[in-house]
Amino acid sequence: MSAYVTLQVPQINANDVEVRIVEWRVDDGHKVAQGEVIAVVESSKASTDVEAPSAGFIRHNAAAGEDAKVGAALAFLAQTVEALPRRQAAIADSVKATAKARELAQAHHIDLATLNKTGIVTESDIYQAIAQRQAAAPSANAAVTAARVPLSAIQISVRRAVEQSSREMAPAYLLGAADVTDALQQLEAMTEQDGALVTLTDLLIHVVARALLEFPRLNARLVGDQIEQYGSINIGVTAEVGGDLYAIVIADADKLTVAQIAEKRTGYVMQLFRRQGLSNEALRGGTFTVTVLQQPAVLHQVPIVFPEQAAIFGIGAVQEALSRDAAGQIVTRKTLGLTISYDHRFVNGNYAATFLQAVATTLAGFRAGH
Amino acid sequence: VQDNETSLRLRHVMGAVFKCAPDTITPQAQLHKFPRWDSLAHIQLVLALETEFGTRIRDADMVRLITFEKLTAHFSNVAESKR
Repeated sequence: MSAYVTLQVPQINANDVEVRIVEWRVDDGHKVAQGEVIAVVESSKASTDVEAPSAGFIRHNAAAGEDAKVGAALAFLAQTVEALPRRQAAIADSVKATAKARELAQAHHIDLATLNKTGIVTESDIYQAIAQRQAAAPSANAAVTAARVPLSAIQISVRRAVEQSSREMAPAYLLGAADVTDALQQLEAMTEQDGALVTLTDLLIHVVARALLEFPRLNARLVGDQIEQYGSINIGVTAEVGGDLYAIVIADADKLTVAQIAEKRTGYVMQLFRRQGLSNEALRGGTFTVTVLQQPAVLHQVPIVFPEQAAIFGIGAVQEALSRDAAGQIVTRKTLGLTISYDHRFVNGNYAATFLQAVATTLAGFRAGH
Repeated sequence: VQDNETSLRLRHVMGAVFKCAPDTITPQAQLHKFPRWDSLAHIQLVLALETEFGTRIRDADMVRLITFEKLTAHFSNVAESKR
């Protein structure tokens, strides 16, 4: 029987292949109590604590900041320091690397063997090597680097999505506005009456989802020379929590009331703020995205279309504008800047403009109960 | 209205979340009507109050506690039950 126990790298989400070791809470070779948190690991969606299953001494088998394969040996636990094994070298005869990492390394002429990586080489390692090479090279920019801040796992996912979008899409944009004076009053009343924290974001999700029923080409993706229309309307909505960007997905949003959307979205956001992580259902399968930036100075935003989608709808902050009412009197109205970014390879301007108009008209005429 | 210990603590937390002086928060202050008290700030307020009073607010209560008066009543009950 082995004198020590191997603690494996945990799987946080069903699709995780790797997780990042964020930090060690217990120093190498030190004593831990049963249930004590020894390390924190994170995937692209959530972080979790790794606890000691029993009291003993800990041997780290990887360093903080490293990516580790799910199921690999994270640490060893023994009753005495002497019984702890030495750290296991994970580098085999040949360097192990993900397909994407190999592709990236080849594109940047980086020899994987020079990385001295314990475990599987990932895209992050290659980007790190690229950054190190850039840092070592003389730069025309005289500014001195003050700090290097690694991206979180979630932000790395965002970076990949943005890069993919930039590579594959041909975006075009339309800017518009909607009068939301009446809609805002309705939302305030709904918050008090329906017991749901109903916001303009929730109303936008509702209106966009219903409008997409009439504009299927915007709820689709381009595959080769074919437009694949999605069978459901799942609206992703961006949320920045703790400096990380998430796209929370409200599945079948066209079948939900505004209050139901508000309840679902608020619940997801609360989970993120409480660092509970989100399920795959809450983060996967978006077919169209809306994004909201409501800092008072933001009139419009021009967002990037998510990969595998046709368009994204963005709003800015509510502004006040002078207008004339039916009697010709000058009145103050509340308006909202609207933007649609769409993939012009398969969505034409007139189609996108008609959609934008439909959303603006519905927002302006929104009545609770619809 | 005379402030009690609970309402003073509430004002302090709300002032920090809404970035305003605590004494500008009136008993009538409420979500969507008070400056900076929007839906996102409300979530941040709920989390800050959970920390301040050491208690978890249920989702159903979160959407109900949208005025200073309701928050005061709720956390007065919480403080009372802890005595």
